[in-house]
Amino acid sequence: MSGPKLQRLFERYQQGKISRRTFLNGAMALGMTATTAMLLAGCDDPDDLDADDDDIAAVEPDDEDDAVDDDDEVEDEPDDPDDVDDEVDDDAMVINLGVAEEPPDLDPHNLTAAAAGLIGFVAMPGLVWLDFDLGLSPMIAEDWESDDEGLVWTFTLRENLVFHNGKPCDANEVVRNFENIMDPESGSMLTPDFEQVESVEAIDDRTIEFRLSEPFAPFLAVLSHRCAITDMDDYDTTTPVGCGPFKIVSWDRGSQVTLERHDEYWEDDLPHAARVNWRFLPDADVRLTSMRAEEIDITYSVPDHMLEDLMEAGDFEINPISGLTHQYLAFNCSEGHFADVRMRKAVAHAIDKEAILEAALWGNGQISNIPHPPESPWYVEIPDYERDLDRARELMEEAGYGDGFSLDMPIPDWTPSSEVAEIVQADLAEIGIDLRIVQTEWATYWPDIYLQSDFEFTFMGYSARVDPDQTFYPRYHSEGVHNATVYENEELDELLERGRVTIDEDERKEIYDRVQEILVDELPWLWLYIPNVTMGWANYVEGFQQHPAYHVYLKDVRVES
Amino acid sequence: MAQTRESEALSKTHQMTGAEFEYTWNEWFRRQITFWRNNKMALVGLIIVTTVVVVAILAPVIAPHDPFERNMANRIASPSMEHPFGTDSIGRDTLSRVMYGARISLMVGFISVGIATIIGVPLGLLAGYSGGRVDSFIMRIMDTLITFPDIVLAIAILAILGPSIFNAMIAIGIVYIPIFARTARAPTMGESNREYVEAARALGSSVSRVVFRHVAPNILSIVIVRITVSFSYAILAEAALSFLGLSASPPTPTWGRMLNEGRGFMELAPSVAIFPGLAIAITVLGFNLLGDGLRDLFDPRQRKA
Amino acid sequence: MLRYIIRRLIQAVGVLILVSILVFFLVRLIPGDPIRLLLGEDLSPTVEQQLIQKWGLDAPLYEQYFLWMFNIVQGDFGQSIRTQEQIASLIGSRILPTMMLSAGAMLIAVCVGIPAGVVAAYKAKTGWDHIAMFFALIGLCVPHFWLALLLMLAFSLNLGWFPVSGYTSPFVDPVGALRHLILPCLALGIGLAASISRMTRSTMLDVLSQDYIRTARAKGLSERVTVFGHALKNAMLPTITVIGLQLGFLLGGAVVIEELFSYPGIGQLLIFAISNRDYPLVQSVVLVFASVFVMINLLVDISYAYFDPRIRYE
Repeated sequence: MSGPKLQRLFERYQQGKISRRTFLNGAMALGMTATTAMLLAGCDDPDDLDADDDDIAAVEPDDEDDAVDDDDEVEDEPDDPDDVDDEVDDDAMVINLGVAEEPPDLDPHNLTAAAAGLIGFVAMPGLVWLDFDLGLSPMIAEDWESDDEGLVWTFTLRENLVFHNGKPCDANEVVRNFENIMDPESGSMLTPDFEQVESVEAIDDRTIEFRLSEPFAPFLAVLSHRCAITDMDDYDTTTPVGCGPFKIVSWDRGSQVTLERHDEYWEDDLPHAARVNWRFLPDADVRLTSMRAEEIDITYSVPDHMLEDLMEAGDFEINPISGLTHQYLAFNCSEGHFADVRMRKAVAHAIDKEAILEAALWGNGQISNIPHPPESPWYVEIPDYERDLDRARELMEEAGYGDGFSLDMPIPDWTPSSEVAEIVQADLAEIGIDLRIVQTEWATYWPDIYLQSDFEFTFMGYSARVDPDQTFYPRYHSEGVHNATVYENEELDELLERGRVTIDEDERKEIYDRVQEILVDELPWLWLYIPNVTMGWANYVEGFQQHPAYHVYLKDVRVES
Repeated sequence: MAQTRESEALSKTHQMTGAEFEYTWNEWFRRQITFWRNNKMALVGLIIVTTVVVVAILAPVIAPHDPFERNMANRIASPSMEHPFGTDSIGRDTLSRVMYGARISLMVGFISVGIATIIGVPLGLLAGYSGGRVDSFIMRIMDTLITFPDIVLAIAILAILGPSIFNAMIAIGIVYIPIFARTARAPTMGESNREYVEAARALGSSVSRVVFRHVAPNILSIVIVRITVSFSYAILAEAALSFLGLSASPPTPTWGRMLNEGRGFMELAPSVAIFPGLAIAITVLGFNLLGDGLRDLFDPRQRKA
Repeated sequence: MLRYIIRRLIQAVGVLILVSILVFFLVRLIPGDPIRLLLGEDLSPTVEQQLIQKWGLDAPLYEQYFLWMFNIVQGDFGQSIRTQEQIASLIGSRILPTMMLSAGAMLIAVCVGIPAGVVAAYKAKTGWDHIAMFFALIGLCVPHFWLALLLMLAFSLNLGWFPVSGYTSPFVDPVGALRHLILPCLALGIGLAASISRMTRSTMLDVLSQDYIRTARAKGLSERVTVFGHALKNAMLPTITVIGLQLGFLLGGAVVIEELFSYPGIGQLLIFAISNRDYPLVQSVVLVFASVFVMINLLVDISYAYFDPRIRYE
């Protein structure tokens, strides 16, 4: 091999710093013939070369005379036949994904909608990610450590991080992201999560150090929650850039977001697919029809009532797993009939959770009395209230409502709230509570009814965060921003405050076990069930894995066409 | 809902061609008897409407099942002897729910059209009779209201009032006020220049007396036709609103809501989405036929044709 | 004539100003809060305050209204709270789909409605008339959202001929675009066809009974010339008027149909805006709706005045 530039290029390729295609384009730009370059790179398809003009431009054509076809080198690089095939397939490989919701925007530091988060995780990964087993694993940071008190956190970035726009992503860039997130002026939803962070600094090109004012146990979890890293010089809310395996190329509103392979992604030979059509199909039925027509390869969810038939038919892969969302009945604990805990317990004894789960999800979930499924490390076994109408009536008697009463029950307008409410209505009628269901548009329900605690009794759902502090603190601490049930309990406040500053895992587990015991005993919420995550993917899709939080990671996915 | 404006345009044509609406009561009765005998379509309309009214009133007696009784073992079942229209997503009998739904639809039609008539007609009379500033003030407001597509305006009003069946009636009533105002205004303008009104005025009758004694009876027929036809629009509008989840709360069986609930199960159980829609279509058809019949009955021009 | 047009123009502007005031205060009367909806589960008081200031929602209402109007007059619709995009470009991207939908529905309606109406009138009181008018009545009575469901059930779920929902740009894939358009256009167009055929029939009947038609017939003109040359021409004006008026209302009908078919048009944008309480977006979309409607109305009125001079002095 002659020519210093070509030599350097080849070295970089061998070290995995640049992709095969970048190498090929570069080599050709330097005057090497296509065949030789491809033999060098280990593939033999000339079609491979027509993509990505940017990469050609990246390497200036030099001395034409350096054009050498050095056959010795070629023999040193034996072809891997499998690899060749993959590469051929990969270039045409398109993943069509059907998701339910279209995000309103893709503001990197304000991915308020879950739907925006999903795209964010693929295109703009953060330092750490919530993995398939709900652990926190390395993403763009390959390693981290904290001191014993949990006050100083040091993260080491991966090598070869490059933004979609070609700019390298170093520690400085990452720090600029956090400076923006922590700036109260930015209006970022993440700002409050970083209250404990005093400073963030780049120690060197790849090292970032956070200094906290007090220990904050959920810190890693916070970093994994829609905490995207973007190029601050290219901050965009529609087609933002990150360093994920796929880059967002366009957004056809109402229809789809198109993503393409990021050629300078840090993992070699990944992602497999050249393109992802991230399509928005709100109806589960429509997604199902599209699956059958092979218009989409992966669907976000299949209709619950068809689950059995579909699994039996086996036309595509379906494998329900426990998720992170929960649906529950909430009581107003400071005003009205349910301020008395005996009334809340009466309801718990009166309702039939199995029937509710059956009505709401056709049984596709598991009933629960705490927000953690048995698979979760935070699960603790606490006996649930038995269905016992006599006990329920007794409790009502004791609370002074033995004659029953009527009550408005506001519910949001998403499914399955009316199915659930109708079962609850029938159950409570048996103990003399006459519910009048008032279904209200979400846009009114959430800010004006739920957050204002303008209800005595309601049905709601939410998606839990992976760290129990993030789930419990805002909702049950007497000062919590989401404490819509207006529940106040000093012991609970104290536990919740201790939980977030305790670093020791076992000690934390004990704290949150106790928290959940109190919640089940006091019932500000009455958890009903945990819906399953039920994605469906075609038989020809390989390497796809369902995520309990519905995150969709596609870098390992292959689609046979 | 686009159809709502058809007769509005018709009244514009009337305005142009100067249709007349004069006849005596005797004539009216005579005409009616021969009319129903000759006009089979109108008779069909009358029969449909009567049937729907009877079903609505007698729903508790004739419905085969309790419309609220769930049966989780028999969800989205296909039509059978036991459940002729099948069952819904929590196993309730669709036929019984459709029967009870008739009550809601008729009530909506009755109250919302009532609101629109009671407010719209006097406004139209006033505008048409007074003319000048009063007329343009009233009609500009009506123009503004009518500028919003009706379903959009109803959605906005419902969003403010909060979704409930009662509020849906109010919203639909408000939306149709301009139509009744326009309906009453056009002929009033014509009538108020006629000799007999001039004469009454010259004799010193008060404005309201002239309007209600002399002008109103002469536009009665056109308003009655309007009311009948509007009934069907109101029923359609309510169905659309409850289809969008903005009307009655569950478990109230309204046709629109039933359609919406059945939507997700169409593939396995089309009956859930078919029958409530059929009920809407047939009821609306009944009122339309009846309205058409009444129009022919009242409008001498149509008889000639 | 010119004076009449000017007068009507001034009235139209007046109506639009009223609409702008009405919509501005109506959306703020609707319970709900754009910022809290935006933040969802990630709500926190500091961020909320920050965003309220950013969007100027803490200013007095009249100030907000005048600022909005001031910007509109300069052609600046502002930014959507929910999507952070320029409203002008949001609306712009939705106009083509809605226009295609309306045009398609109108095409179906005109191509079916007018011939059916003419035949029904010409063959009045015969079997043809009854059949045509029977179908017209059915078309008029079937709620368009139910029709949409039935069409989906038959042609998408069972036969699989057309996609259930969605949209493809005609510039990317003309055939796909057409396939996406057919069902929603039918759902909207059938009711409209019914309405137009009834209108055509009744005006045709009107015209056919006029003296000049009788004269034409008496003079021995052929039926074809009489009906198509004279009657149809004269019956067209009121019919076209109805079509014009319906066009405005097509936009309203499109709201439900677009939502049902997940079709990214203006109607769907409006539902999106309302359900997110995106004040500036709701205001702008409604204003666009209203302008289109007022414009069509204005043209209809002017054409009336042109053909019937009496109206000018009303």
